[in-house]
Amino acid sequence: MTALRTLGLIAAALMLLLTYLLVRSTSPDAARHQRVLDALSAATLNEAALQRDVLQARAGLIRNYDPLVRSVEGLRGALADLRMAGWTTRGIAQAVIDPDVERHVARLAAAIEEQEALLEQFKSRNAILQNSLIFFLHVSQQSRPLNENEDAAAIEMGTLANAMLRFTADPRGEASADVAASLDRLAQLPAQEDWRQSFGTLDVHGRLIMAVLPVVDDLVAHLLAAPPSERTKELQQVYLDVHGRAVAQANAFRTLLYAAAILLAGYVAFLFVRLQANARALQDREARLHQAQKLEAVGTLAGGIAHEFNNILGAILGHAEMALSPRAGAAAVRRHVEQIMTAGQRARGVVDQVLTFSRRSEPRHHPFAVQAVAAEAIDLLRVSLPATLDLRMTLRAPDARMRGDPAQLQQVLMNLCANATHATEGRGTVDIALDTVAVASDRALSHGSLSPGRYVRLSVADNGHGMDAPTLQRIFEPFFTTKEAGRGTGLGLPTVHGVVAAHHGAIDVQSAPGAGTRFEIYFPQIDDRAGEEGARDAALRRGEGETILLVDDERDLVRLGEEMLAELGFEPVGFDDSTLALAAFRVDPQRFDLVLTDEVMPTMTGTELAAAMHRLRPDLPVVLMTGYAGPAQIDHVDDAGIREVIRKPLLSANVAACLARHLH
Amino acid sequence: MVRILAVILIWFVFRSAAAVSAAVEPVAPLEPAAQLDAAKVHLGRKLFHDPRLSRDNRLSCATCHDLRAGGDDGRAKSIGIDGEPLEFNAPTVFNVSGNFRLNWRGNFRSLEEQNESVLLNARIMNTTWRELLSKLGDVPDYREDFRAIYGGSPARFSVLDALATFERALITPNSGFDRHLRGEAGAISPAAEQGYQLFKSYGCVACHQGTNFGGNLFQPFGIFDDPFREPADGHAAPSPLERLSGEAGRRLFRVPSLRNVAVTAPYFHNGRTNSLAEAVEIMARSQLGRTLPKHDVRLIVQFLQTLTGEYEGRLLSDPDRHQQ
Repeated sequence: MTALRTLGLIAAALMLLLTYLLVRSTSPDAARHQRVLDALSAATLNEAALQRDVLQARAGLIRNYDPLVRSVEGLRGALADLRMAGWTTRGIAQAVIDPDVERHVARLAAAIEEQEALLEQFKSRNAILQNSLIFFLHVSQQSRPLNENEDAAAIEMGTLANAMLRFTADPRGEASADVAASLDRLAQLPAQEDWRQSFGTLDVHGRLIMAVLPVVDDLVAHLLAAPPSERTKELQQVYLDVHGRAVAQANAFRTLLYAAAILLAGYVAFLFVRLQANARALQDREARLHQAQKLEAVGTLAGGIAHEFNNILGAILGHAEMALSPRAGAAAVRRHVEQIMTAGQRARGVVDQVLTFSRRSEPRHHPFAVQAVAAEAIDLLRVSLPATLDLRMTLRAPDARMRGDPAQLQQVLMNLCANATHATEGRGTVDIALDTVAVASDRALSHGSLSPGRYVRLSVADNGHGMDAPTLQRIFEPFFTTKEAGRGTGLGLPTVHGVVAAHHGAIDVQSAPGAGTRFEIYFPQIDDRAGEEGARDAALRRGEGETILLVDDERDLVRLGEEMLAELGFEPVGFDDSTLALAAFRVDPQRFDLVLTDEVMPTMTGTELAAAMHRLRPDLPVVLMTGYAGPAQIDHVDDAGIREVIRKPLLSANVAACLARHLH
Repeated sequence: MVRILAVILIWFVFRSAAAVSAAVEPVAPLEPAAQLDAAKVHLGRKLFHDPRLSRDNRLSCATCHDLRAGGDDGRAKSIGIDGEPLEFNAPTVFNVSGNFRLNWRGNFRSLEEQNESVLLNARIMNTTWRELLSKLGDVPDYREDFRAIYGGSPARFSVLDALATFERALITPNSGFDRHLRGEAGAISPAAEQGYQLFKSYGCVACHQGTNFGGNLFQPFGIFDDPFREPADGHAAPSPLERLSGEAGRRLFRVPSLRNVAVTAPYFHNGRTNSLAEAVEIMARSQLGRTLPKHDVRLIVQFLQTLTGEYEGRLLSDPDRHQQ
C-alpha cells in the first residue's frame, strides 16, 4: 500500500515535471511570428509608398489622393496586426505581454497618428496650392490688360512669372519679395475694371501660393522625415530580439525535455532487465519446487509399493514356512503353496498396475459411441460387484460419440464403481448416469477446467461415507488410499485421472463426510460419424458359426461371454472348469475352431490348458484372457500356442477383432 | 513678344503638372462592388429597410437613405425621430465605402462605427442594443437568418456586420462619365466633355479627384469667401490665409464625393440650395475665389450630370427634382 502510494507520488511528480518542460519548450507561434513579420514589412512598404506619393502629389505627378488613403489604410492594418507582436506565447495557453515591444508598438501607433494628421494637412494645403497654381497658369494665359499700358503690363507679367519661377524653385529665398513687389506693381497699373477684377483674383492666388507653398514644403519635409519608418525599424529590432530570446528559451527547455526522456528510457530499460532477472529466479524456484514435489511423489510411490510387497512377502514367507513345517500334511502343503501362488499373482497384479499407471505410450484412439461401451461395462459390473449393492443406471446419450479407447473408458467406470463399492461398504446405492452437456463459457472444476463446447458426462454417485477436503485433494495421488492394507493398491483413481487426462477430459468431484461422493467425468463430444463407422466395421466383423471353446472359472462370466460370442455370430461352448474343458476337447479336438480361455483358474491355468491342447492339435489358435497380465507376464506363450493375450473385461469389439484376426 | 515669353515661362513653371495631367486623369471609374457574401447582403438589406431598428418602429435606415432615389431623403436636413430637423443634410449612402471618412465632418472611419452611432443616437434611431436585439430575436425570420449566417442569435457584431456588408454593396457603376473614361465613344455629350475640362482647369478637380470625385481628404469650407455670411452682411471678409489657419477646425469638412451629385439635391451640409448650378457657383466663389461665367457653370453642371451611375441596373434618379 505504501509502495503503491509512493509510486503514485513519483508518477504524479514525473507528470508535472514533463508537463512543465513541455509547456516551457513550446516555440512561439510560427504563424503569428510570420504575421508580425509581414505586418512589419507592410508598415515599411506602405510608409515608403506614402512618402513617394506625397512627393508625386507635391510635384503634381499624381493628382488624386486615393493612393495616399490606401497607404494610410495599409499602415493602420499593419498596426492592428502589430498590436499582438508583444504577445509572446509561453506554453499552451499562457500569453505574456512583453512591455518593451508593447511600448514600441505604442510609439509606432503615435507616429502613424502624427503622420496621418500631417498627411491630412498636406492633402488640404496641397489641393489649395495645386488649385492656385492651375489658376495662375489659367489667368496668365488668358487675361490681358486692354489699354495703352499693355506693354508695361505684359513686361510686369513676365517679371511676375520669372519671380514665381524662382520662388517655386526656392521658396525661402529673396524671390518671395520679388513676387510680392511684382504683384504690388501690377496692382498699381491703371487698367479697366474687368482686368482689375481678374487681377484681383490673380493677386489673391499669387499671395496664397507664397503663403501656402512653404507650409506645404514644410509638411512634405516632415512627412519625409518619416518617424513611422524609424519606429518600425526600432520595433522590428526589439521584436526580433524578444522573439529570439523566446526561441532560445524554448530550445533550452526542449533539450531538457529530451534529456528527461532519455533518462526515463534508461530507467525503463533498467527496470526491464531487473524484471527479467526476477522472472528467471522465479522460474528456478518453481522448477526446484516441482522437483521436490516429484521426489515426494516418488517417495509416496516407493512407500506404497514397499508396503504392498511387504504384505505379499509376509504372506509368501508365512505360507512357505508353514509348508516347510515337517508336521504339515500333503493337503496342507498344497493349500499353503496355493496361497503362495495367490500372493505371487497378487504381486504380479501390483506390478501390472504400476506399469499401466506409468505407461507413457498413447493408446490408439478412435471415435466410438459412448453409451454402448458404458452399457457393456455396466453389465460386467453387475456380475462382479456384490449383489447387495444397488446399481442404478440412467443412460441418456444414445448418439453421443467421443474419441478414445473404449477399454480405457470401461476401466475408468470400473475403477469408479470399485471406489463407490468400497465407500458404501458394499451395501449402498451407486447411480451411474451418462448424458451430454453444452458448456457455454469456461468452467472451473474440482480437478481441471472446461472450455466452451459439448461434452459427454459420465457420473458415478454413491451414498457412502464421503470424504473430507484434505482427502479429496489427494485422491488422485498414486498409492494414496483410505482402504486398509491389502484391499487397495492406491492406483485406481490415479489411473482414472491418467485416462481422463489422456482423453483431454476433466473431472469434477463433489464430496463431504457422510454425504456421499459424486464423480463427474467430462469427455469432449465429437461429431465424427465416418471415423466411427470405419472402426465399427473393423470391430464388428461377425463370425460365421465358428465354434469357440470358452473357459473361465467364473460361471457368470462364462454365461456373459457365451452371449457375446453368440451375438457376434459364433457358436460358443463354455466351461467353468479348465479340466472339464480339456476333457471335452480330448473327445473331439477338431470340433473347435478357436479356444478362448481365462488365465487364472484354480485347477489348471489357462497357459497349462493351452499347452495341453496345443500338444493335441498344434494348429489350434488359443487366445488368453487375463484380468492383469501384460504379454511379458505370461510365460511360455509360444510353447502353448497362444496367439494373443487380451484383457478382461471382454469387449465385444475387441473380441470380434481378435477372433477375426486368428480365424481367417 | 514679351507676352509670349511670359506665357512660355509660366508654362515652364507648371510643365510637370500640365504634362502629367495630359497623361493621367486625376479621376478613375468605379469598379463594381467586390465579392461580398450574398446572404449577408440580403440580410443587411432587410435590416436596412426595417423600422424595428428604431424606437417605436418609426424610422428605418431607408427613411433617410432612399435607395429608389439618390440614396438620400431630398430634404435640406433630415427629420429626427423627435420630429425636429437634424443638424446636417443626409448624405447619400451610395458609394459610401469609397469614402475614407464618413459623415460631413468625417468623424467616423468605418461603416460599423457610423451605423452604431446612428442606431444609438437619441435624435435618430434612438434604440439600445438590448431593445434592438430582443426585437430582432422575436422575429423567426431573422433568427433563422442569423443562425444560418453567423451561427447564433442576433448580436451587436452580426447586426453591424450585415448592415455594413449591405452598404458596401451600394455601388453605382456604369455612369456616363465612367464609360467615357473607359473610352466609350459618345458616352457623354461634347458639352459635358467641355464641362469636364473646365472642372479641371478651374481647379475643382484639386479636391474632387480620385475614384469618388472627393471623399478622400478634408478641406475648410470657405477659403476665399465666407459661405456662411449672409449676403447683406457688409463687414470685411477675413483673408484666405486667416481662414486657413484660424477657423480651419470649425469649418473643416470632409470633401464630399460628387458621384450621383445630380440626384442628391439639396446641396451642402445644411442643404442651402436645390440648384446644382447655384452649388457650383457657391463652390467657385468660396473655394476657388472665382466667379464663373454662367455659360461655364452650365457646362460644368452638364458634366456633373454624367456622374450619375446605376444601382441594380437602373440609372439613379431623383423624383423630387423631376417634380420641380
